[in-house]
Amino acid sequence: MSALGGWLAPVGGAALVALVELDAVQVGQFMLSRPIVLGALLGLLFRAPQTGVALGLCCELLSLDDVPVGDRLPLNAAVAAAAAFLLTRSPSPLPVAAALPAGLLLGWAHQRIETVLRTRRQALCAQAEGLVRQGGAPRWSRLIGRALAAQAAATFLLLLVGLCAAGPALRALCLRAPDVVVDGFGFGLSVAPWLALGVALHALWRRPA
Amino acid sequence: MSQSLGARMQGRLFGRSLLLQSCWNFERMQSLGLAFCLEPWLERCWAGQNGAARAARLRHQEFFNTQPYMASLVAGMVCGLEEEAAAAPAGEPRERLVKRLKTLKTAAASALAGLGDALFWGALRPFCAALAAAGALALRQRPVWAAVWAAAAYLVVFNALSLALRWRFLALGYAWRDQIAARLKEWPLQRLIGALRWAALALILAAAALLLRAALPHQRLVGVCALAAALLLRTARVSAYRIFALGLLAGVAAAWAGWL
Repeated sequence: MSALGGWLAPVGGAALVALVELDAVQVGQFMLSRPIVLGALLGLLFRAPQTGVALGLCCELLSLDDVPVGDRLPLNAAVAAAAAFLLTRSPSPLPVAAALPAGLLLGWAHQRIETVLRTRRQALCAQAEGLVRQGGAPRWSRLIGRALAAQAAATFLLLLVGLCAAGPALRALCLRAPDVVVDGFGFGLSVAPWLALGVALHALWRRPA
Repeated sequence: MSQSLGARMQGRLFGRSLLLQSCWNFERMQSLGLAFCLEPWLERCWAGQNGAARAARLRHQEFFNTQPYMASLVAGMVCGLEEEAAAAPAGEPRERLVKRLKTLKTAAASALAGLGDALFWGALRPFCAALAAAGALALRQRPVWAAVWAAAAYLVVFNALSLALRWRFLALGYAWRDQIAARLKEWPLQRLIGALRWAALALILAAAALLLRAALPHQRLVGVCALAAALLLRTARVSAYRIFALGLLAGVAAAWAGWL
């Protein structure tokens, strides 16, 4: 029971993130899904604000140059920051130094999944057009609901797999990892904010597009 | 012809415009979202003209893509031009207006996308990120306040400007119609973009200074070298995530060599 209770919070967090992630592109774009905002909010929710802000800040600045122009689909920084944070709060928690690269990998995996989802959504155009040609009106709530539900479900499943399967496996790997790797990843984490600031400086130094 | 959309209609269009990208796909991009947004207006404009209403619905399901926040301006313009087309006598005059509408819609979408990308993605978003980052680093001794600042500063500043513009753009697009480009030039948007980017740069430098102050003496040199390396690698077009991976590899290599 206690083990189940331990998983409830991160799985609930994953469900929450799946909903908030819709803000990244599909609903509103109020910036709730920006890594620094999401990281800070998850940090406050899980009573680990320092970890939330640190992970969110790194992902935010690393993704500052990722501009969603046209059909360009960058790594999903919201999923990366949220996954990294939730991996540190699961019952088999990862150290932050391992959670950040693992989160970025999940953000990259989400980018691949979203490419498939966006391709599949093309069918909705034909459906809507068919209904209009027949003299009716598209069933908007159904069309939009399906698109949003598919996206949220995919995000939730990816986070669930990351938390429940990849998380414990990576933790086992971390416990057996040689000191060289542990120290190296610790160093990587300590320089991550500097690297992120360098990326942000470069993004701002250039002339705007 | 009415002078404004009306508050109720503007509210409906605005609410729907928040779902502009809900069905985004590679084939027609934002077309379904725009069609959904315009639906109440098309219903009103083309009431009682089934064939013309169907044609109007179909023409807004064709390919459409622009910067999502600037789409309100295009949607407002389309509302005005649809109203003109609906008021014109059927036949050649109406066809000419519909053709003009399609041309203007495509041209405005392309032109506004560039401006919107520079304003919202290239200036406002980095400014908010830098504001949140600098504040969070300044408040690092109080983690709860740092988290509250990071989330609140970002959300309040970004949405105060973007939501206000998105709402206003609907009415302006409707009022300006084919004058969008000329009227928008009167706005000091390029100056705003420049100011936001300079402010963001100053805030990022302040964040670097705060990080430098918080670091232990032996970490400072490493940190500054990492920052300089990231700058150089980005100039050489290495992606940010690859730079982070290189940081991890460098750490493992340094630990293996016994430098850590």
